[in-house]
Amino acid sequence: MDALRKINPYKPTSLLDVEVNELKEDPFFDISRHRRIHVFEHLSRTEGILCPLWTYGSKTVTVVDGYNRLRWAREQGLGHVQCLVFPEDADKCYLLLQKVVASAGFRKFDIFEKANVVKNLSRCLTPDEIKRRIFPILGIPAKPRMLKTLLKIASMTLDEIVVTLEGGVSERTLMKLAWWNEESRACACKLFAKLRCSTNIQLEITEMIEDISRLEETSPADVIDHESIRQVIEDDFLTQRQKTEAVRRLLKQWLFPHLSEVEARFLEAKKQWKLPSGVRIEPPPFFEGDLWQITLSFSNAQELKDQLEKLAKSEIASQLEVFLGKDESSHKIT
Amino acid sequence: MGKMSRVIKSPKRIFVHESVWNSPVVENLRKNLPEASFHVLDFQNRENFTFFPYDLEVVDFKGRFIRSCPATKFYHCCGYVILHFGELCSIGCTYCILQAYWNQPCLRIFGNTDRMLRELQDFLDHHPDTLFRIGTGEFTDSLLLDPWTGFSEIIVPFFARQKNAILELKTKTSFVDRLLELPHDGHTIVAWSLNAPSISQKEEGKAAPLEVRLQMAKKCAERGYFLAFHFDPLFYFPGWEEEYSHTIDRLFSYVPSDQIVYISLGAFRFMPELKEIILIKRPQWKYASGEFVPCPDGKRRYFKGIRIKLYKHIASRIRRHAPDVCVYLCMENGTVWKQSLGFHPSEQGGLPSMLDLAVKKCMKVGLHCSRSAAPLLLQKPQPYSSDAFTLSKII
Repeated sequence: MDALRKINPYKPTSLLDVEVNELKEDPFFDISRHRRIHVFEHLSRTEGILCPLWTYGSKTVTVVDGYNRLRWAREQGLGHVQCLVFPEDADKCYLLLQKVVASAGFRKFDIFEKANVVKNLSRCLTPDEIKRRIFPILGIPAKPRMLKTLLKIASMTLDEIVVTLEGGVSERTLMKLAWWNEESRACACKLFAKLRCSTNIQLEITEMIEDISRLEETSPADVIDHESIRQVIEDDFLTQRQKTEAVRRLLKQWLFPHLSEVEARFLEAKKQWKLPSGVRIEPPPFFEGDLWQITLSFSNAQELKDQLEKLAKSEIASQLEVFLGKDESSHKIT
Repeated sequence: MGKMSRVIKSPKRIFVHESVWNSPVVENLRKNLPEASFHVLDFQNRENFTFFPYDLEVVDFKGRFIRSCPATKFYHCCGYVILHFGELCSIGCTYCILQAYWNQPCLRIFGNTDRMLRELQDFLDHHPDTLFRIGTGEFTDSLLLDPWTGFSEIIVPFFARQKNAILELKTKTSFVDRLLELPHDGHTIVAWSLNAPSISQKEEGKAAPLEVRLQMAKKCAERGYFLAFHFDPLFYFPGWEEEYSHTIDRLFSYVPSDQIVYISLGAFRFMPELKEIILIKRPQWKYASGEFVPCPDGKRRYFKGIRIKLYKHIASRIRRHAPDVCVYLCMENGTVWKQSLGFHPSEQGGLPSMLDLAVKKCMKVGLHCSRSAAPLLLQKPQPYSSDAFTLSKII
């Protein structure tokens, strides 16, 4: 699109009061529909529209920027709104890009807005141009299949977006969920709405669900809908944190049966060892590597001395040897 | 020209850096690929040029040809020295790590082989009492382009003249015919990567079928070449025991065990980025899903218990056929070594020394060498002090 390669080819021609009824909508520019409530709250606080809407055309006045302000104006029964008017022949892609650049200066777009911008500009720019020119403006990393992911997000319905937002699904998680089918995505959103966990935990849970569904040749929805997980998320006596931990544990046992078995065996063995109080023994993370750790807690030099003596007298070393030896003898080649 | 795989296609367009236009490798390409088009590679405009997978770049390489294995301080490294002669591979194994390492569109080889050989000769001469195990199969397949580049005709005779080095050519192809007539003097190991039949068939793209690889190994053995085999990456899947046993049984039905210098085992491991890259291409690919745990080197590996199961089974099956062959683990920790092979590498002087010893015993090369190349080249300290276990002390 030639207009996008020129500097400022279309300047606004006038600032006018336009009748609200005369303003036409175009989904091409309406990229923030899901933020309606947020904008309404803001407008109510500021007691009105401070910035003029952007429009173009004279016979038909189409809104470029300010869709949520327009909705608010309609709801408030306002007769006129102030509009900055671009010429009739202004290029639509150019106007959308200008709107994005102008807004990016004072607020960050969320993932749905970014996805809508990318989808709409894909009509006039090549995928390579989108990645090279639009991604940096929107702060999108140029990762493999990012464009396709955003196009998938842009194709979500408003209802689905609302469910995702209500579920507290993070943007990074949504990038993964975008590739799931609609049913699985809805299940994940419901799950995260119940758990209210951090982005990292969402990603961990998402990856485990994906891995299990791949191995079991089933859908992520079927994994989430498994009886054991359903019981946890429907348990009214558990807090969100407890539910999160329980779901992580269940998925881990499912995906990592060998590791879970060794962890359980270690915990059982540790109970038998009767370690002195204030002493903790930890295996290497995931039992990977050769480095075990022992932690002593003390508050003064005498306590440290006592702890060390107790530890020296304890049978921890030989008990650990037995634990490791069992493991070792079962694997030795004869 | 020798027997070629039915599926690996020859390069169609060859882009040559002006300064290597007359190099022996390019001469060979012109001779062996009369139908290919040759173009001078314009580095200025390279970024704007669209390459295709069957293109080949021949460049004047400015970097170091000799490199060490990246290694980590958490896992035992074999101390293999890399002769960097090219990049990328068109065989197309689904699990290939090169997909994540190299961001380039087509195969690339280095045309300035004269500088490569000079650098190599200087390096070997500078350390006359150090034994070097040098391989070309780290960043590409050693023989993938050999039918057309004839690189083996340059490198195999070169190593035949060296007293303190052996060459390992690692491949999944059947491209060995050129090797058969070369004067190797027992200084070259031809190595194949092997896997379970179903993995070879479904996951190893255009690689030669397993039976063909073994037939080629037999041919090489008959011409006096020493052999090595790499069961890497090993996968844990339903039926793995029978499948890997089958491959091992077939292997020993083809080749004499006394010509095998070593066999390595390495369970599938990957950087998290590789999983993403593979799943973009194959969303239902199962082999990166399962009991993979984060490891101290940033990679993910099968949970230790699974790796031990894999190694123990495969090593014992190998031992059944060849009790004395040197079997080692690639990038594993001491616990896994101990529990799967029954000993810690430090008990044999460390992994590099163990492999040096295998080379000396089997190939009778570098018998005068008292040093291992590992301490010289490994960029990271190994999990044990290699100085404490020099080869001379063991012998």
